[in-house]
Amino acid sequence: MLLLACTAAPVFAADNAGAAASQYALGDQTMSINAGMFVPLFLFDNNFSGIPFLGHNPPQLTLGAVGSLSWAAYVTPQIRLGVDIAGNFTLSPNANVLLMLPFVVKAAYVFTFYPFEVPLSFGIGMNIVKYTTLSSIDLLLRPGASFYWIYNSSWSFGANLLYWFDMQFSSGNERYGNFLEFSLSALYHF
Amino acid sequence: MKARYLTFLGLFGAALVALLSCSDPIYATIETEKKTDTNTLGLTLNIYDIAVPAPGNYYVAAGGVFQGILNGTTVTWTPNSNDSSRPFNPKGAICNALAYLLSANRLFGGFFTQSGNLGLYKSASGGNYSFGPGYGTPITATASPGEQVTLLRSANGVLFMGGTNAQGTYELDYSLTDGTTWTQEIPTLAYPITGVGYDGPTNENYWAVSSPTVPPGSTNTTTAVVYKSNTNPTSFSQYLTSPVPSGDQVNGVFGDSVGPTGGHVFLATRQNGIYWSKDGGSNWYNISADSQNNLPVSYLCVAGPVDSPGGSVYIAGSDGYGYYTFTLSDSSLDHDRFGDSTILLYTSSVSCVAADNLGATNNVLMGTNANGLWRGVFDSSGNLASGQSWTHE
Repeated sequence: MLLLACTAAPVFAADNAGAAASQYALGDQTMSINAGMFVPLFLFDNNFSGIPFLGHNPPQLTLGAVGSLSWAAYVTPQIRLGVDIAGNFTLSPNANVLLMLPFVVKAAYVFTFYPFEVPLSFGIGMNIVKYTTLSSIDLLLRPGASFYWIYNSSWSFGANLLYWFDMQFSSGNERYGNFLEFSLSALYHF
Repeated sequence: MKARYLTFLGLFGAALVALLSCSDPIYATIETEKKTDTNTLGLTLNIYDIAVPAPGNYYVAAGGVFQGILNGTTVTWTPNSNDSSRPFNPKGAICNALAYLLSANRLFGGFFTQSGNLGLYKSASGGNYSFGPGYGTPITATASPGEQVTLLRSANGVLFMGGTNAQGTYELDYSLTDGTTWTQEIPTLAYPITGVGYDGPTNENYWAVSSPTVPPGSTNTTTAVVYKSNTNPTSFSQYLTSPVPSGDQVNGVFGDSVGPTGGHVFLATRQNGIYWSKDGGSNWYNISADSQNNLPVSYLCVAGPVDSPGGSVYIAGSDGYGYYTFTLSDSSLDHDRFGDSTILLYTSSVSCVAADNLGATNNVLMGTNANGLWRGVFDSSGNLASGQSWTHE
């Protein structure tokens, strides 16, 4: 998937003739800090049978909070590769904390419409999940889009909308968790 | 640059594949999690004893004495957590021990105040088992003057009291007169009585244990001393063929006078699981201790049967790991930990258990250290009945 995202970049570029030229080049780096809301969507198993997290009263998982730090480097003026460390929590009906600590490698293709930029990203990584006495390391796929206002050559401010597809391969109890992250972001270029 | 990225991605992928094999079924657990019902008793109480004078009629010693009346599927508690009065206590007193004696149709309670010992009380009789002003009666004719109650047990119509006296030693006393007069049976013990039980009309033994009470992981190596008295409670002597290994302690004793084979005695130990006998101690079976965090689970109490009167499924309360269920069988010496990790009971210290299985529903009550009282309706297999959830009373 990562390779797909990378190879698709020129296609996106070709479709976007109106976009402004990026002011960044190979070797430029970014660091961003993000914080926001974490929305549990639904869960399903190998038979596509499952539950909506918010569909009960009380919900199986509540709305939660998420925060992350990201680093990335430009490999072309439009493509950034980097890593992302995040943390989030939600609560169960008995107020148990579902804690996730993902480590994600991600690629982003950045459309620039000065003074805005729109990175489309795809991340893959491991998600360390802790719940009561249980723990798991899951496979996480995380596509998403961001929208930034370019304040100056160093700083941009915006928001992220990311889809978390978390695959838990517990033997006989495989489940696939689906979540949405909406977070505000401050991005620093250096 | 490309080689570096590819190497990084390769290593990352390999690590990911290795790590993905480490998975507990977290989502499957969340998928079936049910919200625990809560009631009005107080969710952080230390429960010392539970008495069930009649089906659906509960009394709990937790500093205050609380009365619970089961109405259908709900228990109404008096007083409740919104009421700081203690109508069932002697004025200003704190209750740390409770037992119901059928022949007297009364509760007996051990009390003390902020300023010192208050001693043994008997409740009113005839359904209102209050120790409160105008109802409770202090019993001064205990075996040792000023004796402080540490344990009360009713066994085969005999009321037993573990106590500590003015000399700082512990003792076991009994009353054959519905608590009116008391006899000192085992005097000058170095450690408190941690349990008393009667193993039924076939074996006709009374059992008692004097033991240090120590937390898991401590290095105390003082062995619990087991006492036995045959036929009547007046001839306790040290039981020299105790199954308890040297260096281990006993947190609780349970005698089941009915049981599937005519009566049992159970010893809940700190390090070596549960010992039980169905033949008066001629043969002992051991349900070995579960291991948690590389330490043996310490068991605090045993109770049952929880499947039905005369059934064979028993419960052992543990120190910090909820409760364990086991079925009496000569060939199977396993026990299973309560499996619902989503509720607080899973990591609670279950200090006392009472089965109310003579009524229309089979209610099991579990008292904990600092996590209040829990109640569940069990089925005839000794499990939480289908569709039922625990109530944090």
